[in-house]
Amino acid sequence: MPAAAAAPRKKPAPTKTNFAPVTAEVTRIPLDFPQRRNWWIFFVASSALLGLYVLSMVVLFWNGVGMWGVNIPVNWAMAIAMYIWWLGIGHAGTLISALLLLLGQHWRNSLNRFAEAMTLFAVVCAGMYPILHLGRPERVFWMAPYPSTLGVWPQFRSPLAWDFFAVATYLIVSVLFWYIGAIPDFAATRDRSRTRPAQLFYGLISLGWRGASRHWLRWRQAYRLSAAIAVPLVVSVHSEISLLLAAGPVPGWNSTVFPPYFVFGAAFSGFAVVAMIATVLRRAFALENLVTPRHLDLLGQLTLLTGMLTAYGYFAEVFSALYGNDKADLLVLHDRLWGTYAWSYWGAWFFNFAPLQLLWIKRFRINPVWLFLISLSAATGMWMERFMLLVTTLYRTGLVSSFHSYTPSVWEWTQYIGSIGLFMTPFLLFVRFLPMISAFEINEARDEGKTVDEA
Amino acid sequence: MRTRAEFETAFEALGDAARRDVLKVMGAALAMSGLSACEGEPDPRAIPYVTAPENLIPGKPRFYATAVTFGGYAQPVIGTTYDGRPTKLEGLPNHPMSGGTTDAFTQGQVLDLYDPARSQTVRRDGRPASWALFEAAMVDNARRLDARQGEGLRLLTGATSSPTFARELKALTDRWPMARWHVFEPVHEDGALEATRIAFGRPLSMRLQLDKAEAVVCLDADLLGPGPHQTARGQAWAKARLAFQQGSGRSHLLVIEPAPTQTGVMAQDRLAAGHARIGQLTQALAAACGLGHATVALSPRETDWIGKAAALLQAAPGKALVVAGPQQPPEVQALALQLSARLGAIGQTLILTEPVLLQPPDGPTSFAALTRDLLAGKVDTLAIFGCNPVYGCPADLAFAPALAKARTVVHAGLHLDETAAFAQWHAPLSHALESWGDARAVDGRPSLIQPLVRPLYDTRTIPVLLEALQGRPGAADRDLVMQTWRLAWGDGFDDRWKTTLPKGFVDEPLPAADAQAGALPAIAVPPDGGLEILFRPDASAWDGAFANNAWLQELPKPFSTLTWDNVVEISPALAKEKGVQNGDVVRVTSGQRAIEGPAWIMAGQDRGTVVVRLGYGRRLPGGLADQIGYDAYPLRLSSSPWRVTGDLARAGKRHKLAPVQPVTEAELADFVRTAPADQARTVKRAKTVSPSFYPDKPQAPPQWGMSIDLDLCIGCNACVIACQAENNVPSVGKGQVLQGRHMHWLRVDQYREGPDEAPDMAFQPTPCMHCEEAPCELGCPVNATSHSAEGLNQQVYNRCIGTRTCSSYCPYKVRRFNWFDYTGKDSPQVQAVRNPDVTVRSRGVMEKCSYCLQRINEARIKAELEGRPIRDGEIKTACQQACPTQAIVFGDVSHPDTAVSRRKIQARDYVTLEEADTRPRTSYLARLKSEGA
Amino acid sequence: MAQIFSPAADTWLRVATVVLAGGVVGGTLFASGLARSTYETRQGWHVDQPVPFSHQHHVGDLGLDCRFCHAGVEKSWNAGFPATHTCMTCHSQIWTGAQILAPVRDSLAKDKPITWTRVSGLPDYVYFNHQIHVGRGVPCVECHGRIDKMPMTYRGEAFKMRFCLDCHRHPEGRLKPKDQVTRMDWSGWTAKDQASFGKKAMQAYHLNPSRMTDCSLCHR
Repeated sequence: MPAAAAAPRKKPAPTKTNFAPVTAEVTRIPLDFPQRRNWWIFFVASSALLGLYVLSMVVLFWNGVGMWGVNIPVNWAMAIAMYIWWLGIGHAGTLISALLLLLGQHWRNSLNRFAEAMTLFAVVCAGMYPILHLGRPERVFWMAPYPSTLGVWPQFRSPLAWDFFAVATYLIVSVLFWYIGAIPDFAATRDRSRTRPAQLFYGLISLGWRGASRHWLRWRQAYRLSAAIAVPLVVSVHSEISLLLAAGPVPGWNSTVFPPYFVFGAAFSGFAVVAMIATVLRRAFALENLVTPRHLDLLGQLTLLTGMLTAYGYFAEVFSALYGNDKADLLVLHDRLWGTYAWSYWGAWFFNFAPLQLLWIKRFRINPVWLFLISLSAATGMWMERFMLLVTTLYRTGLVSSFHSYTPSVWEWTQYIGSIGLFMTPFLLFVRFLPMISAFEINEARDEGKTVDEA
Repeated sequence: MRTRAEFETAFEALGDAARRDVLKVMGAALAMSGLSACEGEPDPRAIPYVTAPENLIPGKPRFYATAVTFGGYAQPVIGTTYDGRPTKLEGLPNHPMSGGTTDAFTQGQVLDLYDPARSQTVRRDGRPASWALFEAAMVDNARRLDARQGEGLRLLTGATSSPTFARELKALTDRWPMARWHVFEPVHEDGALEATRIAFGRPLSMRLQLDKAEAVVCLDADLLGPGPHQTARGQAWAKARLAFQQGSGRSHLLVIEPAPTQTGVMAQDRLAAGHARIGQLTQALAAACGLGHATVALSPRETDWIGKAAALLQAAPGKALVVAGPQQPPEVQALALQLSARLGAIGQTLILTEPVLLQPPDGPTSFAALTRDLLAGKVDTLAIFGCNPVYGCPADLAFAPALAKARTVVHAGLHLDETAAFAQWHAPLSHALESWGDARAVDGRPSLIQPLVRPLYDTRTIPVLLEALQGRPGAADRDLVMQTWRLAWGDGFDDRWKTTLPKGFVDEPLPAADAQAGALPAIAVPPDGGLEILFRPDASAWDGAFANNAWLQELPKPFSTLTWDNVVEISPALAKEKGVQNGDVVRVTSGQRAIEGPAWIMAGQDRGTVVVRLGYGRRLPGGLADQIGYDAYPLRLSSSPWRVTGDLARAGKRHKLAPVQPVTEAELADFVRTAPADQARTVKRAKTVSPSFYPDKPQAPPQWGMSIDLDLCIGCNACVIACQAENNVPSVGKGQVLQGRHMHWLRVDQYREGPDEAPDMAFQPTPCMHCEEAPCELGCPVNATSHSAEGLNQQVYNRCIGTRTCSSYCPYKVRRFNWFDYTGKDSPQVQAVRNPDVTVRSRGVMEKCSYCLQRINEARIKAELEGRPIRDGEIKTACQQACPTQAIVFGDVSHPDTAVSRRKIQARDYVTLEEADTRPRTSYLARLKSEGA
Repeated sequence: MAQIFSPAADTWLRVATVVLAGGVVGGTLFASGLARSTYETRQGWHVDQPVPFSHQHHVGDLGLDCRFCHAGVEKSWNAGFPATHTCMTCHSQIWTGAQILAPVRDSLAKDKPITWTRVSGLPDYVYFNHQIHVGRGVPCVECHGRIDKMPMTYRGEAFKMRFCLDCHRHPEGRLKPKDQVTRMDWSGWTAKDQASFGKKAMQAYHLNPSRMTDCSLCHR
């Protein structure tokens, strides 16, 4: 879209030859941090949450998973729901940076770095849950295929076995992709840093980058390659997660719509959270001219798109239940709509889709506050959906005799609230010490004669 | 995981082969369970014998025929002991009364033996004393009593049928003619004896021949419900029912009852009516059968029911039976007896014998008389042996205060209970499983009681105490029993003793007594005093005697599926009227007396009927039962022990109740099917197996499977406790049950459908289905649950990491998870009851029914070494072995000619949740309609 | 701007990377090696006993039959340890004064059992059964090693699940004539003998390895 149409900019577009401003603007943040006081406030707060997380974990491991409200039949609940939720959030980062990179969408450059960081920390939060919820967490490594003295292997028909691979692979690839992508900027920061410790730190993590053309050549290969690996993972990982539920003969789970349904939902919640972070960061660090209204606009559009796809998933579920007219499926549908946990079902519908409709209008898309609020609502809605998927399905299934309700215990809540700390703390450190926007990629794009909007 | 090595080694250490002192080494055992972490590192110690006992094979169980007592009757059993530890009770196979089956109480008694709250020391005025002091005191006392011909000596015991007790008692009264014996048994059968006295002139015991009865009418008589008679009657009823299934003979059961009972569920026509109303309906029924005349105005429903009953009864001369429950007024029961007599029941479906239980001098008024004499100061020495009158005393008899008037009160019991608190002397009593004794089964056959283990503590039996009472301390319980039978058998004693002991019982039922029916009793219609409040024993605690048994406490009660509590059961209509919800505490008042307890709305209960359950509200310091539930005795009257009238109101409080199954309403057809009678005899069409992505499992024999006949299941719960005892299933307590974490591998599901006033109700035992296409196996990431070549769905605890995927995928939700460490903190006594052939599960692993794998493996090894296939019926699962009606059959489904296969080809064979298509190996046989059979 | 790093820095970085990678691989190898080492399995590590009992002497030299002391082996899952009485059947005659036998003598005198230390213990969730193995002609030596050559008794084989499975998957290679289960030295027994006998035994006992690896055979 033409630059003129974009929102007014603080600075004139830098000329081709002069890259300094962008790089400087990005690297000044770690080197000479603007928001020290606010940062500390946030950091202390999130560290406190992290502390709560650790405490809950200790209590859990000491007493056993009975500390949670889970029971038979509802023996999976918040833990698994949160696992799916966090992992879903993670996916958007990869989509934005890797997919758009391969598609040559340069406008991603302003977003990809912190989007990827978000992915990393979200995946960590997610990856912890399957371990926490185990009866014998100390035995989790039995899920990994290794030549044991027992002479037995994992059970490869099980979705959980593949879960293990999926998440592990995803984490590794995300780390690689993010790190490789950041090396040139690490180097730039190194060159601009004045204190010896800073120089050493950035020097080390930039692995001796000197910007030689051979460096750039190798770098490009590695970067695009890891991108090419990352993109299909987004689809495969969350489809796999959906099988965790869909593979069982459980009415309400055992449905072919689940894989796409899960991937859409994941991307939806992910884009929402990216939008939230983007709006906050650009406000906090005055990056309006790097993260421009157009970026918000595009994020809004993506959120809207994936949101509507998710809505379709909901619709398809209801439809197939009614159309299939299977007694068990209808019972589950009934329990979701009118049962004990109906709030989670209607909550999901409401928070996911009511505010979302505002995004049809551009004014709301480019308005950071509105975009933030709508995204927040979407994240909440997806939380409820994941909860609904687990609990409303399990608490009344099979024989009437085994119906039993479920209430999350205090320790389940603290574990969840704490996990936000587990996400925020490293993210704040990232914002504080690393270049959070890919300066060199923007420059590169502008070198090719594009504006920041496009770049 | 733990136990095996620990206990094996620990118990090998014990001296005498047959019966060894468990507690001596319990400490060591406990230390070891401490040593060996839950991961089950082998215990490094190996402790052999010093002198190996005769024919003992280390690691092999031993079996002894013996008996436990319940309500004064013997429950004949075979006791399994591992290296001296009794771990399991099974029915005595050749005993005609039980046919090798048991009820839930009998299964639970092995845990009572190890009850950590048992009294262990002699006490004087509550302070620990010694046997020496006690016996010395008794010697002095005996001298005093000699001087006065035993005047003022009163003996108070529970109901008993023990020949040895009778002999001891006789000896005592011969020596002290003025001494007197009284009986206190809260759940007594005095009414029945009184009824026979009215009908036939003298008290007699009724032995129902349900196996011969084709038309049975129960008037407030829970024939198949919990109690000492359940095993015998369940087994006999099942015989008749099986005959009916095979098309020979009919099987009609009609019931009128104020509140739902297991008998009511099995009835083809169940009518709810008030306790008093039932008396009138009995008259009407009698009149309809041409006996006497009735002037009762009947509702259409009642007319219809009476008409049907009368027709069916008269159509089955000599094969009919009318029974009124022991809680009905004696006159009503007497009328029912005479009606039965008129229908030719005597000698056919009803055999009358001299009373099986010993009758105290004052008969039914025995306890009231004692209290009177106490107050009158006529009692010098009161010996209370094996009963707990202070707790169970009716409100109109101030027994506890009266005790103060006695010079000496001696109490002997298993626990330091409510009564012990009022006695100068308390003596710890031996449990039946650790002592010598004898008692008669409900059919009158005497059983010999021999110990499975040397007394855990320094305790005595009642006969021994009777000796001590007479100043003859130090008698051996064994000698006293032998003495009894030496007198009975004379010269042949030695041989008979040798042969009888392993057999376990003397095959001499009480002979039938000739009885002539007299004049018809007049039936008084009690004045209407508001709500009818009925007293009933509790299905778990009975009269309070079993209150401290964790297995029984956690056993879901019939219909309500409640655990760890007793409730005030009221009808839905009354609940609506009084605005009462489940769990609302209600105040039940009768005259000046009142109690408070949580309410439970019982569908199918008569509108004006309130049922209160005995056996709770115990004050038993240190016991599980201490302070749980409410005590119903303060509402009871010695004059009318089963029914008072009064009112009920909300007390404004709520009480958390822990039902195992929160929802019981269901469309029965989904789970419990009903079929026309002929379907038991027709073969079903070969069912088409729906396709599967996975290759079919190989079906090489043996392939294990189970069939459960819902037409026979009376929901007695014996299977549940049998399973718990066999498989080391932990009790988790009320809190965990509330959270939906009970651990029973086998549960008896309860369903009801239809109007609240007259619902259709059903029981359904639900073990693991051992599906051939088991979703759990697909779900487990670590192969902890997998399929065996014999079709078992195996669960490997030590491989399980607790992802719980298996349970999420299980359509039947029969898997149980160790949310906490439910076994680690067990007391050494409770650890001793564990079956060493089954792993004790630790925290964080899934567990479930294994079809009693340990029994299968045992049999397989035996068969392989003998070079033969496993015989049909050689393996009995614990639930199958206990089931009084033999509703459960287990065996090889790949062989067409096994009991289980013969069942599975019946047209009424089906599986639940067929749509899940997991191909269960456990299938059900539909209930049959009795009409038109 | 001054150089931050020396020219050699790159090299050092590379070296560090290699070392790190090597460390990971090496650590893994070490761990799995340790899990299989005799230190972990205790194979061949003899343990101290209250009485320094020599199987070499009693079995090898005197030729006592295993079942004389381990009497349960044919009747029960539990082979059992000899009662003090069993020891004294001979030692009331010979070595009556021997110092090393003092514990045995006062075990009998004081009626206090001797507490031996197990050499071949299995975890409690493993339900091994001697009766059926002996009954199928699995010789003692297969699992317990050359007991007749052990002055101090030690674990003859690594009792890891893999060890059990190896045999349960290929029993034909282990089965021997039932009447010779206690035979220790099979050097005369060629591979050909084993092959032919193994085949016969498999048929005679209808052994089917696919059924012999069910978890439920040993875990319940």
